[in-house]
Amino acid sequence: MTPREQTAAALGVIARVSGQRVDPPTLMPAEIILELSGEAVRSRLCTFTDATGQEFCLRPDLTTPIARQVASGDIPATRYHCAGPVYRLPPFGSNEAVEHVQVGFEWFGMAGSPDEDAEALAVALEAAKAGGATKAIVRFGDVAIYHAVIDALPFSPQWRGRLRRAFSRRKGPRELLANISNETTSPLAARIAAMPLAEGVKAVEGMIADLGVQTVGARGADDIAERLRDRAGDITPDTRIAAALMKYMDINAPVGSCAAAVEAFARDAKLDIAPTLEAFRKRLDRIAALKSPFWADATFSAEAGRRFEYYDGFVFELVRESALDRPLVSGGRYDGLIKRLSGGKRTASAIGAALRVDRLEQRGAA
Amino acid sequence: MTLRFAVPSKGRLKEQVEGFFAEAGFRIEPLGGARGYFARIFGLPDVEVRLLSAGEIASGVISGDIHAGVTGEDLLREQAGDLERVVHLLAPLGFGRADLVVAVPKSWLDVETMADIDDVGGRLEARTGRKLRVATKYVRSTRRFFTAEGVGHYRIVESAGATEGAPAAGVADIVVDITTTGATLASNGLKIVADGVIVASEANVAASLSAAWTPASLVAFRSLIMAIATKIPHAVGRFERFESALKAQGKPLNHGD
Repeated sequence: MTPREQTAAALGVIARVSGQRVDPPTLMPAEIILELSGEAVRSRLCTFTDATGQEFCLRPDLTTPIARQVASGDIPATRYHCAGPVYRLPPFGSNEAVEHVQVGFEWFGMAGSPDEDAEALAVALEAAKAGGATKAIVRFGDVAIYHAVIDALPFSPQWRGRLRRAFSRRKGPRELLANISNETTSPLAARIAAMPLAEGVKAVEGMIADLGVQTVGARGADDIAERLRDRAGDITPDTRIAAALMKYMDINAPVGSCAAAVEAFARDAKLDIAPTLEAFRKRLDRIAALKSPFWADATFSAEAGRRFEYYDGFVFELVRESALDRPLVSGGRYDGLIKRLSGGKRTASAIGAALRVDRLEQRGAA
Repeated sequence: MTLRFAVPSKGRLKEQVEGFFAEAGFRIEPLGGARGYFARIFGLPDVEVRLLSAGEIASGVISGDIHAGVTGEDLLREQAGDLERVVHLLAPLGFGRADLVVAVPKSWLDVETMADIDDVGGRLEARTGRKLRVATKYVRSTRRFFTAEGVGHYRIVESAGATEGAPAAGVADIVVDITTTGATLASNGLKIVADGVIVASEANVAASLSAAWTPASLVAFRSLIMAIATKIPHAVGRFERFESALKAQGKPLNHGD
């Protein structure tokens, strides 16, 4: 198949159940992406600056510009499909093209149920098959289980926040927890925490004045005192708690036994995450009933989805054994994205997937 | 073909490089009058010396336009994607010291580490909806370091002039800047974060793996390394490692050019 035929075939499968076609703008303020994914993505963005100094970028995916239109109220929160070029600078040492075609769908504002998860996965995999994908495997995960495990383990609130954030970072939960024995407590924090808040603020003001400086910008003495108080309650997790989380992160299991593996983990660690596990099992049942291509050999990985900042539930990728970091398809649930993009003004459940047309067929295959 | 070797064309670094070579018994003398883009080293006739800014020398050895040069490690790391793959550092010269560091306002009594910065950034974003602003000229080094240290919730504000003044001026919250003694940062009300030293840099002899090397230019380079080996003995071993890395690339050493 030519790339054009691949695109048409994949899009045909998707369009049947994905409402209207939407063609989002190619250009967007670079800030949107940087705010969403952080400065670390900048090296992959095609950016330029206008005469006034505002920085723009070419869309690195189709999800963000479409979600932006939904978040701003320009288009209603419903089902969409899309196809078009996206632009990403290849990582150092890679020879992949900067511009490549993505085909995908974004479903907003639906129930956000296990049924919808299953349907989205099935559509994405059928589309990949129609577009020429062969000999690929599904890796999937559920970021919601990671969040539930962290909430159920006795971490301090500060550590919960840290571990949530670390999930999508290069210095991930493993690296963070590997260094816990090096954490030291702050005598200053303990001193401030022992005072009533107002006194603590006064003490901080005094210390800053003693240094011969003034507070600058966004952080006043009250903010600093408040954080010192929080730090005093920021208890370094016990190594056994850290080990329990590591045990979850280590779970890799074939689709047939993954629910049992996660349940066994929860039982051994004495964690009550029953509602999350029930939703997980329900989703697996729904997916199994749809008999999607590639699914029979799927693998669950607790770490799946780590490379994307906005996924917050079910995540999946279609990959080749020989190139695990270059997915043919990636998709998942991102229920929090519209809220983040709209600054809290709108909310909408969301699930979507994107296919990279240039990776669908194995190069060199006859 | 001779060796294209670049040294700094101005400032204190220029004097220090000239002093270094003179002490080793090899005087650098400018050619072509006052314009002075070229020089030669007495005793090393096959070395063609170019006078460039330290930043130009860094980009020159990375691109391979020059075979080798004296410049700061900080500039090389900022400009190269993966420095070790394109450049070898053969001889730290013991001057031109400059540390690239992360510094925060002294009033931030609660901040001692990079982990604190991530935490402060997260709280700031939750409270105000905007990210922590980091002023720097070293955009790539900053981005790489913050990613490796697990720091998010920040935006880089590219600074053109006096970076250390950015927090006081209200255009940034913290800075990533070059310092030798820390005095300039301190006098601007800033303190260096304990684990925030990105590069402890000094002037170094940088050799390019991407330049077009010939047997003759390699011989000339070896004689230059021997000349400084009286002051920096381990430069010889590093030169030999560079030579094998160059040969391991499998590119023929060109006789033409």
